[in-house]
Amino acid sequence: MDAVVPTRELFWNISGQQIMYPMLLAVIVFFVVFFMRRVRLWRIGQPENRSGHVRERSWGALRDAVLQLRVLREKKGGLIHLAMYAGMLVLLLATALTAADADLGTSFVQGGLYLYFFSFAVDVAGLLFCVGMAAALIRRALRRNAGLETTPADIVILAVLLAVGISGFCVEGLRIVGTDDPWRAWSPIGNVFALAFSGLDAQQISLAHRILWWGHLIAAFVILGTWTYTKLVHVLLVPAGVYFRTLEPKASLPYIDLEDENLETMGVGAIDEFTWKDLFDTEACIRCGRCVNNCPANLTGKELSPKGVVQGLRAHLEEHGPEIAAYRKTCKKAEADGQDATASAAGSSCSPEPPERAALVGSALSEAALWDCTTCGACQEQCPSMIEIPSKIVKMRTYQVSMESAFPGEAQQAFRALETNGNPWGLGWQTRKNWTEGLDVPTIAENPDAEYLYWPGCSGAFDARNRKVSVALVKLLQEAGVDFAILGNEEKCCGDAARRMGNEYVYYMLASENIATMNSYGVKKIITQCPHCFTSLSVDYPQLGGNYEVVHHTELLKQLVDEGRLPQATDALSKRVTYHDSCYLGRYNGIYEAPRALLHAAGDEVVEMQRSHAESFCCGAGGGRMWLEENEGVRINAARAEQALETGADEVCTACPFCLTMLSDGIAAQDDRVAVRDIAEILAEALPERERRS
Amino acid sequence: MKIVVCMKQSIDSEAVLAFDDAGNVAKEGQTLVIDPYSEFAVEKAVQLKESVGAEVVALCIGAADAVSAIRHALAMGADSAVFVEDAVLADGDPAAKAAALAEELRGMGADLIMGGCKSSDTAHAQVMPRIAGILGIPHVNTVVELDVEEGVAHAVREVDDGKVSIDVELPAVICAQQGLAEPRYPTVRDIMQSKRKPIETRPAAAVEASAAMQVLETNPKPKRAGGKIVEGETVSEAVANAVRMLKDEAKAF
Repeated sequence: MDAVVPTRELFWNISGQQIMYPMLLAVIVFFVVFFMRRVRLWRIGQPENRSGHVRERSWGALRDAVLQLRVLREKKGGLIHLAMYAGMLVLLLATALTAADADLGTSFVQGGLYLYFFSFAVDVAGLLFCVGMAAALIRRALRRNAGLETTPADIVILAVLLAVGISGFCVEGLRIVGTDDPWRAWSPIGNVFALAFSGLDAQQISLAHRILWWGHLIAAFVILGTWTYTKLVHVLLVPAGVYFRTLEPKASLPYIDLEDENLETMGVGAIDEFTWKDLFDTEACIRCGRCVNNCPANLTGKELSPKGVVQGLRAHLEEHGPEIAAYRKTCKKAEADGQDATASAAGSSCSPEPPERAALVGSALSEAALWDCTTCGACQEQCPSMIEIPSKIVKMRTYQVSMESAFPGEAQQAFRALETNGNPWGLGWQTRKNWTEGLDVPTIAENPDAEYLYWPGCSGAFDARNRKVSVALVKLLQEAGVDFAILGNEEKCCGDAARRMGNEYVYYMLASENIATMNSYGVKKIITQCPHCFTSLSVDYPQLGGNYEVVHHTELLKQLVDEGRLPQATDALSKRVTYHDSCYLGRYNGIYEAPRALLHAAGDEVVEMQRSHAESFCCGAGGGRMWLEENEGVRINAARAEQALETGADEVCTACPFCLTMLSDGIAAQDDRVAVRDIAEILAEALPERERRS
Repeated sequence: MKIVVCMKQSIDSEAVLAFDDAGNVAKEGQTLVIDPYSEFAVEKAVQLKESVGAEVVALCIGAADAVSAIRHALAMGADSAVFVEDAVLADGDPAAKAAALAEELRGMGADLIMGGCKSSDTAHAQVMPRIAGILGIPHVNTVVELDVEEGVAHAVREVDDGKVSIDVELPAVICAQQGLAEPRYPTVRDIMQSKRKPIETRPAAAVEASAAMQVLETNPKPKRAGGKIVEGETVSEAVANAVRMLKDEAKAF
């Protein structure tokens, strides 16, 4: 018997398929029109450089979007999405190659490639695709995911895609029966469908095949034609969003030059004051709700929904953007005309009235939602599009505080306290150094050559509970022979809370004074025990000319233990300790392992909370929330305390003064046998025992 | 309507005080702020400007560094300021200050003169009533509510056992008590604009005033004896200890 090359007849039983060409043209036109319109809207935003670093950006887009690693962080939804995604990719490739055979004279659809790929792999992909769609429909119908809201459009899209998949198998099954396909065994799913049609006669098969083929084609083109206008556009926007992600440190906020005399406004009060990337982000939101499911404010019954904010901004852009874009265009044109006509005419003034400024707060989001945010960054961490949500919130706060003086009343006390005494409690600045009484801690004026500047921060200097952490840390540093000094009363609040509450002006005053002080002493290396100070000094200060090597105490202590300058615990007098990841230490600065390693060094066993590491749940004090009332819903610190107690740990460990305060309060209200301590205290307590043993 | 607000700068109330060789509170290195009572008066004046319309002028006697407090008043919404730069007078006798201020006020044509009912540093509570006395116009002290219409000020003042409503014809002196108005937090725009508002600096007018008081000596407030912290491993233990202390030591039951 002659070797027959395995293949199939393209367009078997079909005529008039040429209509696909005009249909494809229409799809392309729709696509182009959509993007032109979108780009025009995004361009009303402020410029922001997100180009360059092509390799880094491409690699990020490959890893986090194309390879779906970010999507897979949530197991169930991630796997369902992966099935659809992988299925769709294979089907897309198969369709493209088939089209090439039909129009470009290639011959992919034959031989081994036909059997292994076009028959078998495509069948499996089609199955994955259908299973994914069906699972997604069921998941939505059962409402298993609180953060995921379902609109009729979501259902229609899934249903049409499922119909495309199933009709594809039907068409394949009918073709197999109709042509008595000798290679049917290579199409396992199509073959099953073929069995269902085996009772039909040739005419019925031909008719059914035609009807379903056209149905399949039309459904597919409906999807293609409308995809830019539905959520499906995320296929392009999510990878693009990941590509254009910020490469700055995660906590970075835009630099505002307060010395600039032409500075007229600060922060974002109207939609076109956002950058183009901010506006792009609103479109790249696929409404998956992962942000909502990780937002401590939302989960404790507050108004804030990160997705709601992004969608609100999107709607606002949709409503007001076109008018602004049209105005800009007219202005540009008038300017160009004016310059063409006569150089003497005042060409820059533009004739139409500018569109009325629509305030964002009160429209895109409520004032309560704006101030609910702890800037913990859990939303951004989980977002498959890497939408920068906390920075948008801070930008809007900056406008509210700096330009409108609109903020929760309690904030004013903190602002005034920071202005007059350089600490949020408003305690006399001359008492900052009092915590060192009885300790041998030199000021930098006394020890100008110290290797490190130790920065206890406002909590470490003024708060009775956190002063104990400072004392413990000093003990450890002295034990390890670290050469350090403090600024003493010359230190001022780092400005983190002011900046993230939107008070750029107070932040600027505090930061520039601190930088001037430190630079005058020639400070190079700084130890902080507060992740907020750590972030401010290492991420915010370089914008103002303060460049220091900043180390958080967890990392320095880990290094000292590793170097043998602090002894390791030798015996197993171990406690079960759960470590609470501070947002600004973990998510923002990637320090997860040092504190845990220190707990091990102290001889303790670490038990993890359900939400830990990058998924950690905020204590409720970030973003200046430490200084604001929390009246709505459950208190965030109470919720976190509950999560900590669920581990059954003997003790809760923190590495942030705010977390220590919040969790101490939260836990004391629920279980007074469980202590909350900073890692420095735990380590310092382990010290004398070791000394006795050694 | 023209409102002139007499205001002063004082040391922040949280500051740790020290004395100089002459026995006066040392201002060196201290955080100086607009006096809280002056601030209430400025705020109310600006509110009146916003509601019924007025020109608000800040009037201040102080050392050179008092400009920052004046700028604060301007950022809050005062239109202009007159700054009598005289460090000695600023820390001097209230009668002399009142005389100097009254001298300035004579030429300003104020319909309403406002100021704090006292200041947070010395708490003399002398200057404003003395100004009214010198100028021969009525004054209402410790005012917590104020409205102005058609040349009449409707004031509510705090007294020992309640509040009293008083209507006075303008011009009059109104002395602000805490509660009159919650001071606003100026926006950055306000702060920037305040830098362009005029401050007219002039020396103190030469006026004679016999001293109202004589300071014999200045002493720091005695330190408060520390409270007792109730110890206890658990909450219930601590509560038991507290009850025992109340019973045995304080004989509260």
